[in-house]
Formats: sequence, structure tokens, C-alpha cells
Amino acid sequence: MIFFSPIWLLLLLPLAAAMYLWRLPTRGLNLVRFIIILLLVLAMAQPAMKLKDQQGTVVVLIDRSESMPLKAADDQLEVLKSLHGEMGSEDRLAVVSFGDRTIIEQEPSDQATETLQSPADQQHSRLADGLEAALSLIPPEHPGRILVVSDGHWTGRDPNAVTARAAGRGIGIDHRWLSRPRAEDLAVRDLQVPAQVLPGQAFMISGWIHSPREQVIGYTLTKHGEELSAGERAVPRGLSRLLFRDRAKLSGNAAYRLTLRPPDTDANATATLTALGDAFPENNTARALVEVRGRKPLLLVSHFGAESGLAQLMVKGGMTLVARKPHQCPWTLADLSRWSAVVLENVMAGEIGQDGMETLAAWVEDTGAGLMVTGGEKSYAPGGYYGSPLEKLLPVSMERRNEIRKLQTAIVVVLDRSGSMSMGVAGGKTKMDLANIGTVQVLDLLSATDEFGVIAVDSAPHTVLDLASAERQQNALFRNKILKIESMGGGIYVYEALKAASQMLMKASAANRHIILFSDAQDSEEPGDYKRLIATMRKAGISISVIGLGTPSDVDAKLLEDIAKRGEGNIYFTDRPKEIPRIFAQDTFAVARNTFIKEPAALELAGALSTLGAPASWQPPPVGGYNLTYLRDAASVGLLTRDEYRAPIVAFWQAGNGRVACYTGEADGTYAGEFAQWTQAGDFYATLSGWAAGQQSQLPDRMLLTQDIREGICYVQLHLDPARQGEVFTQAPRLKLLRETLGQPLRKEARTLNWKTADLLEAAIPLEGEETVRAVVSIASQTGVPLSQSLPPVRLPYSPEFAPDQPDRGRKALAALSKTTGGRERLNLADIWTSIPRQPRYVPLSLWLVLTGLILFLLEVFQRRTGFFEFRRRVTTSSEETGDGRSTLRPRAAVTQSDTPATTVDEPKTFRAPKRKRRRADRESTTPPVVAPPMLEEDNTQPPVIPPNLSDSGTTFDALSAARKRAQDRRGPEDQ
Amino acid sequence: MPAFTYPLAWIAALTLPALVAIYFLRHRFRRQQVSSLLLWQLHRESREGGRRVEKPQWPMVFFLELLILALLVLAATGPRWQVPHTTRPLIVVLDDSQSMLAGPDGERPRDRAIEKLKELTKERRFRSFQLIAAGTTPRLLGDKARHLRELEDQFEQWTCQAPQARLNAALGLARAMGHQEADLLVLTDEAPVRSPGQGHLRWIALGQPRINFAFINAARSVHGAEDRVLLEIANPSALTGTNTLRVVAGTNVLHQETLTLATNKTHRLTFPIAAHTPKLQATLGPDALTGDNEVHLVPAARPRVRVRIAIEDEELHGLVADSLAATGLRALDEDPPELVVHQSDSVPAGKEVWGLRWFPAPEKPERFTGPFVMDANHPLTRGLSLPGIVWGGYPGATNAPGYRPVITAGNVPLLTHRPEIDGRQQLTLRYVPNHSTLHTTQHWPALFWNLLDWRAQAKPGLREANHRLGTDIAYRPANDEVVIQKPDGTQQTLQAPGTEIRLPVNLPGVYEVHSGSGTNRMSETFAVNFLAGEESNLARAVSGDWGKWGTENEIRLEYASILPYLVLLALAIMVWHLACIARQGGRV
Repeated sequence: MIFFSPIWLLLLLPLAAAMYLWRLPTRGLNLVRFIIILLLVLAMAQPAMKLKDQQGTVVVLIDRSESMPLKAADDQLEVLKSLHGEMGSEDRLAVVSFGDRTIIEQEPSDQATETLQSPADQQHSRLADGLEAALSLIPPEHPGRILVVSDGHWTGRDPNAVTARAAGRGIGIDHRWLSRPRAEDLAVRDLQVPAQVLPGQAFMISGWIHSPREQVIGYTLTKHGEELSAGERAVPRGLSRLLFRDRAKLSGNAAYRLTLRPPDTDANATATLTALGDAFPENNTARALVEVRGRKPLLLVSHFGAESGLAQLMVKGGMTLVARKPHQCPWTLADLSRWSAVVLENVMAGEIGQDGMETLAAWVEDTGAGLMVTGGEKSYAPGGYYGSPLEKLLPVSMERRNEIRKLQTAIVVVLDRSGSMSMGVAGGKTKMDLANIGTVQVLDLLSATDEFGVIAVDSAPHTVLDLASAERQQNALFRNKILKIESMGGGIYVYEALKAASQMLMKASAANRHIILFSDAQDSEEPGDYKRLIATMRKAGISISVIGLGTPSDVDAKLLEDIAKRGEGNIYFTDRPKEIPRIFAQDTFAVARNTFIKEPAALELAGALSTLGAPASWQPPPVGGYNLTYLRDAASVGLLTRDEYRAPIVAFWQAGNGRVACYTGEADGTYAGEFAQWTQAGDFYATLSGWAAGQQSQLPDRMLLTQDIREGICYVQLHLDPARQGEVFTQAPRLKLLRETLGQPLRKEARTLNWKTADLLEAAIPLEGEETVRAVVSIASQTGVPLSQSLPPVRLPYSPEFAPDQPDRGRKALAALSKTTGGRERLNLADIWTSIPRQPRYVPLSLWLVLTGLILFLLEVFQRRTGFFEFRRRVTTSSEETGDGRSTLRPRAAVTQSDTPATTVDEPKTFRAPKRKRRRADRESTTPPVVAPPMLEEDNTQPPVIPPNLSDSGTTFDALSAARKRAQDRRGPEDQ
Repeated sequence: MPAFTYPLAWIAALTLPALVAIYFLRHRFRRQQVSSLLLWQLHRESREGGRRVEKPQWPMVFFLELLILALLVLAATGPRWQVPHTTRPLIVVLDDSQSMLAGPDGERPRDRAIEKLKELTKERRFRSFQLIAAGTTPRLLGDKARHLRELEDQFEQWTCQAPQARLNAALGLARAMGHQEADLLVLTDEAPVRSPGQGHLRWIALGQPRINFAFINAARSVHGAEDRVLLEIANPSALTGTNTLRVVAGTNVLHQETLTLATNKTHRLTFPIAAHTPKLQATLGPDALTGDNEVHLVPAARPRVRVRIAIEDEELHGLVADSLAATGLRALDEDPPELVVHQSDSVPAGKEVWGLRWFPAPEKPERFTGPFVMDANHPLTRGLSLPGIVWGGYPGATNAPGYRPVITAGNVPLLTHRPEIDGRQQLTLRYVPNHSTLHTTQHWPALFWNLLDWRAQAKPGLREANHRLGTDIAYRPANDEVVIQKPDGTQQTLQAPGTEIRLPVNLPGVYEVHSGSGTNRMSETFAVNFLAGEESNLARAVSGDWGKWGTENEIRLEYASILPYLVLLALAIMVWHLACIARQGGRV
């Protein structure tokens, strides 16, 4: 036993003194009172004893995956409420939710959980992780149980290992099964394709169909969205196979998609299946990727599509390519993996989008693919590439140089600082922060003689920087002033904003006057008579571009479009805040910078062109126009202009594992010039793009790289030759992963391949439901040449949450967990608390001590007031006198009676029962049993107390006589 | 608002009416006005004290008693009140990885951490303590404790055996438990990624860079008729060091060498060893961390399949036997069979028996030269390609009901497969050797290797014999009860409701696992090794103190037990009560 506050035990000393000073009438009562005080002081010292106790911790494990029933959260909260209502004072309730991630909703406590923090409809049910977290919340040798509230369809690691550990610790895992009905689940169980095939190779595509009953179904198999096969088939109950065959044609990737549908409907009838009662329509479509080995074609992206002159020239030069228009490109990892390189022909950055550019950049840098960019008025700086994810990949830069500028320009940036701008975005920044950064970028891109001003607008315009020369404003003080603009609430008042900006610009000395209006496309208010205002502004030479935060379908988008149209500027929409700075730069380039030279320029061959494989005899004619850029330090130049700028026309370099080539002239269009007519133009473009496409490196020393998906995990294995001599690596091979989920930014990961056996290295990559993963293995070989080889992209058919199963598989899985650990299905939640195993733990005793003290005190009062127990004993004894007439009862020591009729007697201040006299009284207590009256030492004048006659019969006089006689007897010896 | 720990104790409030009831009972000291000596007539009254209800009197002691009882009832409910506190709870995150045991006794980071914690509690008062061990997963070491001495038991649970310390996950748990109110302390041997400022977190590292050689990889795998061993030793220290590697099997020293490794260099050793060589033990000489200086490698799992060849044609029988022998996966005996290669129409009998039906040669076989279509995901076609081969088959053959094509020539099935509900697999092969070339290529033994390996994987038992600590170990039990004998001598019995379970291992060493009964009893040995390169890296071990806790002067309202104060008040009143009774001669 331990005392948590032993200091209180010191109280026993003064309390003992008090008890000695003020005693109770009887020894018994004193003893009881002492026990009471002792118990209470002990209770204050807070003793605890290690006892086997049943009170412990119940951890509720909540499944938050999307396979759960629609209103599962309500049921789960009801479970928590019920458990909380039944828990004891020392019990603890903890809540852990699991899905993609495991979250501790509530640590062990006596609190109730009202809401769940983790989002619902997650793509995984990582039960093992959840169990691990739940187990960690129950301390060792502490009683506890785990209650799993789930449909039992787990994904990820097998929960068996954790279950076994729980069993080892004596922690039972109970479960409550909640599930969507799976009985009617028609599904594609798996879509099996070979990971890699050779061009021309035939292979099987197996679509495993899980049907709840015998029925006729419709199916459609597509390849890159084009229908390969469609039809109807009678399928039996259970698992059956739809078998397809295909032959690989072009090298690259082939994306297959198998969709089930009701018979006599078209391929997009998944919704109909839902209506027919399919519990999981999500698993009626499965996807798979096949890589066709060999030289992959190029992708040419051009506004002209296949009609592009560049495409025709390249084909003429011997290249295999596919031409697409920008809107036809999905810019996904799976699609990009089909190509060896991408050629962007005068395509604006906005047409690729922020996510697309990020994916494209990662694809080039990490997987060793190629990129070629050609010039034009929609490319490079005017195309919005300045500040874009692709900019850093290009061997040329687009920064401001003083020697090139348009007419003197005055720009006023009007910034929306309404409430919506305070919303956070990635990197811990707000939308306002990104708009501020974009505004500073505008300032930095202006020349010294340009003029610049900033107005922040909410329900009124506020001048942040008055119009002044850019040279004066381009310092830290003013930059900070812009960067500190904060969102202040309210909406943006458009009319007031434009009016203030135009008034500011009217003071400008520059003839070229421009407003950049940055506004929320959902919250642009009070346009007033903007049409007349803009008309006036146009007369004053003021143009307006609008950057709308949102999409063209937003409520105020039309207004913003109209403002830009009437202002004869550009309109940009973006719902990706990260794009804001890039768009600000793009508009500034368009208005204030002359980066596309529209004059013919003669070309000069640089030596580096021969490294691309170009013959030295080439005499390229002049280009009709070009994008003015600057060669980066590590880049090589193949062609440059002979004009005053000596600007690069062909530049190239290695970007990460990939290659990037830039041609800054316009390949096909007004400014292509004589170059387009050059007889060698086809070879030229083919040489350039062929270099960019590069060659896949082969692994040395008979190494073999394989990739295999098992149970949702992609195993990348590097097999070594067992007969190899010595070490083959200077360091462990690295694995770079690109993970792409539609609608989310690309993620990159790096890992090391670990030795699994003497001749095998392995990395295990868990796959998420809807993502595509592409792995690149980099090897630092003994020769010192770094080698990298990319593997085909892989993906799961669909989220593993929807993998069809036997209708009761989930229930069986939960039952197995419970059986292993001695748990069970809990229909009645109340008894979970009583089934917690008893374990030794420190049990506080204060409660029991106080309760005991309380009861004893009540008894003491009862006894003191009534003498109940003594009477009972006495009465009992009177009828059971001993044979010699002596009573076995001890006399009462403190019984008295008031003797003064109708008056109040002064009570003695203290009551002291002299020990000596009491002892004598004890000795003299003889038959008949009497209750001795108290003898007051201080007051001998008190009348004697006459023992009562125990006989109920006789007269008053008899009683008085007897009393008198006894009194004489008692006083006799003293008189003598 | 007060909170009550034991609300059921309100039942004790019944004592209050009970007290009142007592005062309704006849008091043995009841004052009685009498007019004469007839008072003696009333002797009975005293005797009847407590037995008769009379008009009560309400002396002051009654009210004192009532107050005492009320206070005690309140105290019994375990009341907690929001009282001002200047102290905070302390949540300590303890690095549970093995590097905390580096160094000699008394100087190990673990020992120093405990001392440091005691030291800190002398410098600053804390309201309570909660220990969280940060291993592979964070875990609570015990209940919240109010006194440091309560933590002694919990320190014993801090074993520092984990192959990694997920300090951030543990800090996440600590933050969740602390509700922004607790002081957090991390006791580890490594520096924080980002130094915490002033606030709630203090990070104390108590490690020291030391020279440490460690096994970071160890494997023993099947390589034909023998095993192949991989040992990888690293020196993840800040200094060049020397150590001795010794590999023994029983009493035989198989390898011994002195290693001198520069900082962060590794030495990889691969060598073949006879498959029958018993458990290998590789050790390094003593250094800062002992846990990573030893590995055990038991013979690699080498499952063999009992195959019966029920083919009468001698030539074909010979071809099949040779093909099976080439795989190295066929058991010497064939009874009871696990795979039957046959030519009959019926499937082989037996609960565990798979069948490969080899169709008898037709009269006029057709020679297929491709293109062959393969189910590339089937276990039989792993690594298989059929370029330029000739396959003598059966013209016009079709799939039997329930069978799925694995290899076809156009629409003609050559190899098919049918899974059965009980887990058995039935295969059919249409192959005429005299008209084919496949059996003369390296793909033929590959096909049979795939077949036997597939069958072997479905057998009960372990798939691999040597494991890394922290990985899942799959086991197919022979029945539904599995017994594991652990390296520390303890034994655990597991229920195995499914066909495959994961074995619970948390210590490095050699384990035994048993399942089945009678002739079906199966015992296997497997090794688990501590192979955590990051954890063995003592070069990054540092000592330092980052972050500061806020000042103690903040006053916060927090729930605390007020039981002692209620009881104290009750005791004080009890003394008063005592004095009152004594003053009245006990007649109240």
C-alpha cells in the first residue's frame, strides 16, 4: 500500500490530543470515535493498494472507410454514448478511428465523445494500424478491451500480427459489425493484365466477375477510352471470368478499363446498376495498365493537332509521334508514361494547368523522359511559363533585363482583400499571401521608368502604394508593405476599386496604362455603373486585365469577364491559389515587356549543336520572330541569333534524369519565317526531339528489375546475378516514386532498396486506391556512371475498399479477431465493462475509508443517544443471569438522569469520568445487574442515583425503599 | 461546477435522514421534568432509550453532526473542483529504441534519462506524470501517476527493444493527451529535427556518439542444393573502427575476420553453405550497443512437394520425373501425395491433393507455333515466355467446364486450371512431347518449378525462416491452435481461426512454432534478428537540451480532488462536536 499524501497523517497527533482532552462518555464510544478519526485521516493521506480490479480501459475502434454504411457515423456515436453511459468511475474510454490514417479521437478518459474528427469515406480500412494504436492506449498489465465497430473489410497490413500481440497481453478484441448489404454486389473482382509485353505480343486480359446470382450482364472493355470489346454474358453466381485478348502495338502504355452494366444499356450505365440495388457500384469499373516495351513515340501538343506543320515536318524527319490539341491531354502520369518525350508547340502554360505542369516536370526530371518547347506568342514568358513548375526545367530563363522593354508603362494592381482571401493554402500561406507575392512579382518585372501603384479593396479602396516610379518602389520597404496586406473581411466593391485605380492612373506620365484587378469570382460585389466607368477609362488609354480566383462558372465570373473584355485586357481564372503569382507575371509580361521579337533574325550555329547529332554543314535560314530568353549557366546552346541580343534559339540540357530542349523560334505560324521553308527543317526538329526523347539505359551486370502487385502492395525487386564477382554497387540502389491521384498534386517519395537475400533487393510500396504510381530505380554502379531505369506505372483496379467478397467475409474476419483474443460480438454494450479482466492495479481506498467513517459516526451518534446496544445486551443478560446471581454485564458508566424538575441544571463544563471510581463502580457492579450512575467528582451534592428496579411489578414505594436501601449500602463504607 | 468521481456515493446521503430519525428516538438522557421523587418511577425510561419515538430536541450537536455527515457524504463522492493550479501535468515521451541502451551501465541514455527525469522533478513541480514509450508504435507505459515513485513499475516496462523510435507519433499522442495544458518532455538520444521554442515542449537528448559496429542485413536463402548467406556489417559511427566478425555453426567456426571500417561504410559478405548446416550465429565483438552484435540464421525454409507420377507411358513418365527433379522442389517420398500427375479422367482423391492431368497424345497432333496467349498473372506463367517454340497440341480442343485457360494457341487451350472450393487446384496440360520443342528449352523446368513452388506455398508452415524484427511473419497452421516458444523461454498459445496467421514477435532470437497434433504435428524454427541500420547509427547520438517550458506562475483553473479539504473540515467540526459533548457531560 502506498500513500499519495502522507503528510496528512501528521494530523493524527493534534486529533489524538483533542480526544484525550475531550472524551466521550464511554470507552467504547471513545474507541469508535478514535477509529473514525483514524479512518478519515487515512483517507486524507490518499492510500492506494495494489488489488485485482476490473476497472480498466475500453478502446473503441471506429471504421471511417467509404465501404461503411451511409449513416455509420450515427451508429458509431450511439455506441460511444452507450458505452460512456455504462462506464464506472474508474473506467476509461478511448476512441480511435481508422481509414487511410489512424487518428486518436479521444485518449483514455472519462469524457464522452460527441463528434468524430476524422473524415468519413476514406479509401482504406487499415485495421492493423488502428488496432496497433488502440493497443498502445492500454498500458502494459492494465486491464482493457478493444471494441471494433466496422464492416470487417480491412485493407493494408494483415491485422493478425497485432491480434496475436493483443492475445498475448490478455486484451480481448470485441466487435460490432456494421455493414452495407453485400449480398447484391456485382463487381469486377480483378482486371488482370501483364505488367509488360513486347510490341506485337498477344496477351490475355482477364476480367474476374463476382456476381451475387446467376444473371446476364453487359460489359465494355476500352483501351485509352476506345472500345475494344462490348457485349452481354450470362454469368453464374460467384466468380467467373471474362477473357479478352489483345495484341500490343505501339510501344508505351496501354490503359484498359472494364465496365459492367445492365444488359441492353450503354457503357455509361453504372448508375442504373445502383438503381438495381448494387450495393457497391464503385467496383463495377476496374482499370489496369500494360507497358509495351520498346521505343516509345513522342507526343506533340499543338493547337493545330495532327494538322500541325511541325508534326508533319517531324514525321518527315523520321519520328514516330502522336499529335494532340492541348485540351485532349489529360496530363496524368499514366498517360505521359506512353511517350518518350512531349513537344509543346506554342502552348500556353494555363492550358496545361498547375497540376499538369507539376506532373510533367516530375515525369521529365524523375523518370528520364524528354521535353521540347517551341516558341511563339503563347509560349515562354508571354505564355505564362515565368514562375511556372516548368520554368526551372528549361535551359533558358525569362527574367527581366533592362535593355528590353516596351513603352513606358504604368500599372496599378487592385487587390481583393475580402474575407475569403484569409483562407489557408498549402505551405502555411493564405490566398492573400500569394496575391501579395504576385503583386511584388509585377513590381519586380517592371523597368525603372515604369510606374506602379497598389490598392487593396474590401468595401472601400485603400491605397497601399501610391503611383510612383517602379525604381523608387523596388526596395525592401515597399515590398514589405505589399507583402503585409492582410485580408480584412467583407466583399470586394468592384466599382469603387476600378474608380480608385483609374484616378490613380490618371496621374501617370506613362502613356501605356494598365490595371490588374484581382478579385474573388464568387464575391465581387457592387459593380455599379462599371460599363460607363470602363468606357471612360478606355478613352484615357487605360486597359484592364482581371485575375479571377475561382472558375468561369462562379457566380461573379461573368462580371469579371465583361470587365476584362470592356477593358481590352486579359481574363484569367484559377481555382489553384498556387498559380496566382504566375498569372500576375504572365499579365505583366503581356503588358509591359516585349519578350517576343517580331522581327526576322539571322542565326548562327554554335558548336554544341553537333552534340545533338546535327551535321556541321547545316546553314539554317533566319527565323521570322522568336522569344527573347537568356541561356542558363549549365545549358548548351546550339543556335543563337546574330542580332543585338545574341539570344539562344536552340538550347538544351539534362534536367534531372530527363532531357529538355528549347527552340525559341515559332515552328509553325506567322513568325516561323524562312526557317519553316528550310529543306532540313524536318531533320532539324527530328534531331532536336530525338535527343530529348533520349534512350532508356540498361541495367548492368545482368541485373533484372521486376515489379509485382500482391494484396495491394507493389513489390519492386532487383535481382542480381548469383555468380557476380564482387560488389556491384557503390551504395544501395535508390527508388524514386511518383504518386499521382486525380485532382491532387503529384507526390514524390524516395526510398532505398533493401537487401532481402544475398542476390535480391526489394522495396514494398503500398498502393492507394485511386492512385497511379511510377517507380524509378537509380543505381550508382562501380563504373561511376549513375544508371536509372523506370518501371511501368501501376495502379489498383479501384479502391481496395470496394473489393468484392463473400457477403459475410467482413463478419468472419471480425469474428476471427475476436476468437483469437477471447473476445466476442457485442450486441449488448453494457457488459463490456464487466468483462474486462481483473488485473492488479493501484486502487484508491479513500472512498471506502470515508464511507466507513461515515457509517461509524452515525452508529456512534445512535449509540451515544440511545445506548441501544447496551440496553439490548443488558436486557438479554437480565434474563440470563448467571447461577450465582452475578451479571455478566459490565455496568454502564455514563448514564445519568436529570433530577431537577422544571429547571435547567448547569451542565458541568467538562465531563470527566474518574477512572478510579469507574473501576470501583465496575467492581461493585453485582447482582442484580445495575447500571451505575455517573459519579461527579466536582459535585458531591448531587443526589445519588438509584439503580432502577428491574422488576416491572411493585409499587412506587417499594421502589423508593429499595433505592434508599441501596443508597445506604453504598454510602455506608464512606460514612464509616 | 464540481465533478464527482463516485456519484453512486450520493446514496450515503441517506445517513442524513437517518441522523434526524435518531433524534426522534427516545433519548436515554432525556430531560424530564418531574414533580417529586416519583422520578424513580421513570427508571424504565432510560432503559427504553432508542426504543420509543418522542418529540425530538435539537441541540447544537445535532447540527454539528448533520454538518459532519454532510461533509463526509460529499467527500465520499470524490468531488473535484476547479481550483487554481500553478503546476502542469508532465507527459514524458521516452525513446524506446535500442540505441537508448548504448554504452556501459549507468551511462546508457536510458539510465541517464531516468536520472534526468528525477532531477527535473526536483527543480519543478508537476501535477501528474504520464509516460509514453516511443517505439515502432507509441504506447502508454501506465496510468497517469501523481508521484514519481509510482513510476518505478512503469520504468520497468521501458525496455528499449524497438527497432525504431517514432518520436513524432508519440508526441502526437502526448499532445492529444495533454490538451495543450501539459508540459511535454522528450527523453531521447537524438536531436530534434526542428528545435522547439518556448512553450510546452522540452527535448532532452542524452546520447553520446560512440563507435558501434552493427549487423544491418542478414539473410539465408535457398540457392539450389545449398543455402546462400548474406551478412552486412556497417560502421555507422563518426570514427573509423575495428571489430571482429565471427560466424559459427554449433561449435564450428565458419568464418572469422577483423574488420576495419571507415565512417558509414559497410562490409557485405556472401557465401554459400551446405543446406543441412544447422543454425548459424554471427557475432561482432563488444562495442557500444550489444543488441545489434549478434544474428542467428536458421536453415532456409525448403518446402518439398510429394509428387506421385501416375503415368504409364515410360517415356512420358521419365520426362515428367526429370522435369520435377530439375526443380529441386520434389520430395524424395511421394506418400501421401500432394500433387498427382496423371492421365485419368477423374481428379485424384485426397483432401490435400492437387492434380495435373496430362492428356494422352491424340492420333494426329497439331503443331502450334504461336502466337501463344498467356495469362501473365497466373502462378504457372511467372517468368515464362514462349518465343519461337513449337507446341504439339490437340486440334479442336475446348475448355472443360469450370476450367480457365492459362496458355492458349489462338482459341485452343493448352494449359488450363480449375480451383476447387476446398483450396485444391486441378490443372490440365495438352502437350505432345514428340511434336514439341518447349521441353528442350529453359522454359520447361521453369513451368514445373512454378507448379511445385505454387503447391509448396500452399502447404502449412512458415514461408521464410529468417526475419527482420518488426516485420510480419506469416504462418499457415496445421490446425487451429499454434504454440510459440519465444527466445526468453515464455510460451504463447494462439487461436488460429483462419488459414494463415501472423506470428507475434517482439524480441530478437530463435523461436519455435508448433501446430497440429499426432502425425500431423508440425514444429519449425525461425530466427528474428535486430537489423535496424538507423537505430545502430550512434554517430547521430547527441546530448543537448532544446526548448523551454513556460513559466510556472500561470494560474489555471483545473479540476482537482477536494476530498482532503472536506474531510479536514469534517474533522475540525468533529473536534468541536467532541468538545460540546464533553461540556455537556456526554448527555447529548
